[in-house]
Amino acid sequence: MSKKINSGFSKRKAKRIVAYLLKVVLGLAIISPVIVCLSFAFKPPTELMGTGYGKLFPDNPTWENFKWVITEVPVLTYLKNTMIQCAMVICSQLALCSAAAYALTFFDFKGKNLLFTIILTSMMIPGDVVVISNYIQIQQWHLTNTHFGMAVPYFVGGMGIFLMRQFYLTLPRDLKDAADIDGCGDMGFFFRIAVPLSVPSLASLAIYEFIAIYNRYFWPLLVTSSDSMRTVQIGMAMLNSGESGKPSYVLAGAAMCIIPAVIVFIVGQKYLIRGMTAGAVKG
Amino acid sequence: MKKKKEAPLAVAGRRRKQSFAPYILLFPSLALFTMFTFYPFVKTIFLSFSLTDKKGGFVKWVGIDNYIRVITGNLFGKTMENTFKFALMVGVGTLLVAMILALLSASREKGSRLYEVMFALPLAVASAPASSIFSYLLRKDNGMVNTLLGTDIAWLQDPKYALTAIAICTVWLSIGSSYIFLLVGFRNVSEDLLESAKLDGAGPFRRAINILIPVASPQIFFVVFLNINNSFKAFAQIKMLTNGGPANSTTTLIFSMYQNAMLKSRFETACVQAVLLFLVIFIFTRIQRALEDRMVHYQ
Amino acid sequence: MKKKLFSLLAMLLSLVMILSACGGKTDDDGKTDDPNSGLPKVDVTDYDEEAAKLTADTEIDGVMVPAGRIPVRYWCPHGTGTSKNLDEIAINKFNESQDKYYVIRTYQGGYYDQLAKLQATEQADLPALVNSSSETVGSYLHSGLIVPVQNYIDADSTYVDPKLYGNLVATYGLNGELIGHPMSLSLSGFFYNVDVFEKAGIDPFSIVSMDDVYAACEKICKGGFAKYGIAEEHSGIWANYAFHRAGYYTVDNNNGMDGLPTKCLYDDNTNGFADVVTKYYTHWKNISDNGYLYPFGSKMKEDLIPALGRGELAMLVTTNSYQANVIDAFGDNTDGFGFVPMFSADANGKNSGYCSSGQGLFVIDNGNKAAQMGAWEFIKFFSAPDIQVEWDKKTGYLPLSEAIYDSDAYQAYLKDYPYVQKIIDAMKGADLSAFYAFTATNNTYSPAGATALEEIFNGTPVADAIATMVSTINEDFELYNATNVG
Repeated sequence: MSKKINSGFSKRKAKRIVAYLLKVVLGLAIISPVIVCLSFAFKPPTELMGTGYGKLFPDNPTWENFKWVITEVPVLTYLKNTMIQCAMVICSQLALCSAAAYALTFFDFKGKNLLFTIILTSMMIPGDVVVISNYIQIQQWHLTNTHFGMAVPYFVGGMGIFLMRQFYLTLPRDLKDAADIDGCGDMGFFFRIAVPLSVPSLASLAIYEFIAIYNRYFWPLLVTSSDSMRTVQIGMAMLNSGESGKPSYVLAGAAMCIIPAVIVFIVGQKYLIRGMTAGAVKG
Repeated sequence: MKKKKEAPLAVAGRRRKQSFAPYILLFPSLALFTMFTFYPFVKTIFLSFSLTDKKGGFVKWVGIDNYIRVITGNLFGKTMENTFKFALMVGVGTLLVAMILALLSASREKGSRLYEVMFALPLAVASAPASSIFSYLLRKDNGMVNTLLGTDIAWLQDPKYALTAIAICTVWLSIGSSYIFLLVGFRNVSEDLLESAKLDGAGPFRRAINILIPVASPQIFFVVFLNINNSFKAFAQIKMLTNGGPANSTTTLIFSMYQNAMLKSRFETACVQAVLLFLVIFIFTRIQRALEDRMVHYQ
Repeated sequence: MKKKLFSLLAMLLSLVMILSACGGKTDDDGKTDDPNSGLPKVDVTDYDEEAAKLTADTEIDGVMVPAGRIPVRYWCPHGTGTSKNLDEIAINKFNESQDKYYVIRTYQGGYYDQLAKLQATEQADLPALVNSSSETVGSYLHSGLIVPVQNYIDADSTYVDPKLYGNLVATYGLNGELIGHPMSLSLSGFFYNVDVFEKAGIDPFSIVSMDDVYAACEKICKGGFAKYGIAEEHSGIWANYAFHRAGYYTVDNNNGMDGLPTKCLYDDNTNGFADVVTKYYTHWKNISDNGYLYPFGSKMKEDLIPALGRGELAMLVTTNSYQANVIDAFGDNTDGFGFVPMFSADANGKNSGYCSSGQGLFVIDNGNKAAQMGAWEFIKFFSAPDIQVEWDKKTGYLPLSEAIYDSDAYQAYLKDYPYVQKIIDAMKGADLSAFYAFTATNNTYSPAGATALEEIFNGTPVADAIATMVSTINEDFELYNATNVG
């Protein structure tokens, strides 16, 4: 009898382990492009000239590619600038979008629906077409080649307001009533209750913006004119440009671009996934 | 997303007496929007009815001539077809992959963090480095994808496959965030509900179809919406992988717009395309909302 | 609510109209598109006073410019590699040699990113100097942004005529008057794998027309000497070089010399050009249909050059500026490759010489005459033979003039690279009148040719692909001319 239970138990356990391993293998498949990139970045250029593309791992790993990239492109400066952009834009978006979404959810005022429609509409406007116009504007304000000038058009976004409003709508009405009875006040409720509860949504917004900023190419190219202000995407374009350079250098550059973001992600995901799945979004 | 929740709050709001607070809260956002989004966009609409010089300045008014030129142009049909095909591939592809991954990790277990991180990792990769990597993977000779599949396809040079190849790259870029959103949805399902279904003898597949997916339908809708919306605006990977070719098979509306505005200095043409893209997204959003009202299940 | 939205839109619209009307006026002053009138005057003086006014170190574009030095901002489309050579060989040395000017080079994206940025930037924020590729000379000519370097040449008594090769003068000048100054010369043509050609028994230098190209591909592939006969770097530019080599103009208004082109001539058969175009593209169609072609659009550094090095590919159409990458691909087999300058589109053609590829330097009218003078000083410094020889040795570019070619240092270099000698001999043996068409919109004009090839390779009849290409280009010319003249 006890034997039976044991074998049944271990069978289930074995099944679980197999399932777990399968998931890990699937995970490896998902991240395989990143693995390929990291591994190829260590291949000496000559290995990539032959048919060595087929092999996953380098025969003679080398730092040469990374060294070349660092001497040719100030990647670290570019990464720093991208991070400054991320910090400025994300902070501003979190503050302004929460405030706007709060106003749109908890207040009743003239023109509210019209304003919300307008904000929703802004999400549908293709960003690239307004780039040149914004560049001309930033020039008139003499903000070119500054972090602020690069960030300011993105200080607020329809997506952010929409996302935050969706969250505030899920806050139970009792909460607000209770706060009112306690004499918490509108701003008090906002800072003491709404904002702390919305951390997971703020995290999603931060991620969304992080990706958007990391991917921007033409805007930073227009607004900045010196190496000291450039961002990562421009560095990638520099590596890809023209006749010079070697394929392995481009991959080393890609790897250097990916690694910091991946580290930020791995450190942050604990809070992120837990925060987002912790049930705060439950209706 | 959760429209029906509006009712109680609207009531709560109505009790409130008028104050300046909402205007103060909204002012910075609206000022920035007006300056960097609406004003340029209204200018875009205006310029789409005129001719522009190479600086984007107004030259003369031409009415709807630009629209006629763009719509009757030899590329328009192909561009729209590519735009919609791409949206469909990215929308469906990302949803399927992210859904499978999220269902597999719907319940927490010891060590689940490991694969959760791996499933979500692509979201940390920007489109430029991803494009560099995919251009290696998708080569005809010595490409890893061809080696694995045993095929001999020029993924990025054959018009039959190029758009699919870019969609594959885009799906990969999008699965991370979609996975997290879906995971949020699935993990919201109460353990009791799942446990009782289990006791009723429902297998994992039945549980997914009957419980997880319906309960997470707001998130699923949001993911579809987000990915299709992003696909309308995706161009870095197109620029780097195929530059719109071969034979315009990967030229989408946004890519064509980018080329006209940034590289060819044909601003009025880009403006027309921007307005058309705006309409496409607008109509799509409307359809999406109508469908959501009908189909989404709210807890 | 809709009414409100509408009135809001109407209000904004009228606001925009007012604003853009104002904008239009300010744009008009001073600059015109006609390259022959209203050019800013050039004052070739020493600008000592301006330099003396700068009494403190200032940071410009992230670089510390020492006191007393006039900053010369230089926008450059070279990202890596070439840019470093440029810094080491020319810019750093120039800045050391100078006590009045200081060149600050920054990358501004590719050629067309840079051009778009130049066009959208206010005059005071413009650089004084840029470089761009030979096929964009027309864009700069009609940009309203430049001061033709000829103005400086005429006014500066210290300038020694370098006697540039004829194709450079034809490419960078109008009737011998230079618009920009050549900084590097490369030629289009094809790299070939010596081993493959030896086995196939073909003399690569016998390939002088598109007919020969086809015949060589056939022989190589049918004989199994290489998997692919030929590949072309992804561009529409090679066709135009081949047409110019055959002695044809590709756009009207004398290939753009007499003014902005109004149409391309690919379908104009008054001198038999349309037939040549059809024949040329038909050859490519057959090359592709027979499987001799490495997929068009494959990447140079990742796919094509390594394939050439491995002998899987026999010929690679591009410019000789890829020398460094090709040398890498061949590794120890240093004599394993060669380069033949561009074949003619037509065996019966005039063989009117090789258009120059490569780069030119342009002085930009940024309203600061002292900085522009600094740009001109840099151009002079950079075109001096000793700097040029070093530049050519490092980059593989060809000499700009006979004087550079004759120098001991360059002759010594040629001994190490005998294949370069052959390229130069071929170039000098041709009449050097051919030049790439002056269009203001090469970014539509040239890619249209690449798209035509892609369509042809994928089943579109040659005539249809040419017709689409012609209508795309003509529509673009028409729009440009309707909006940018005067």
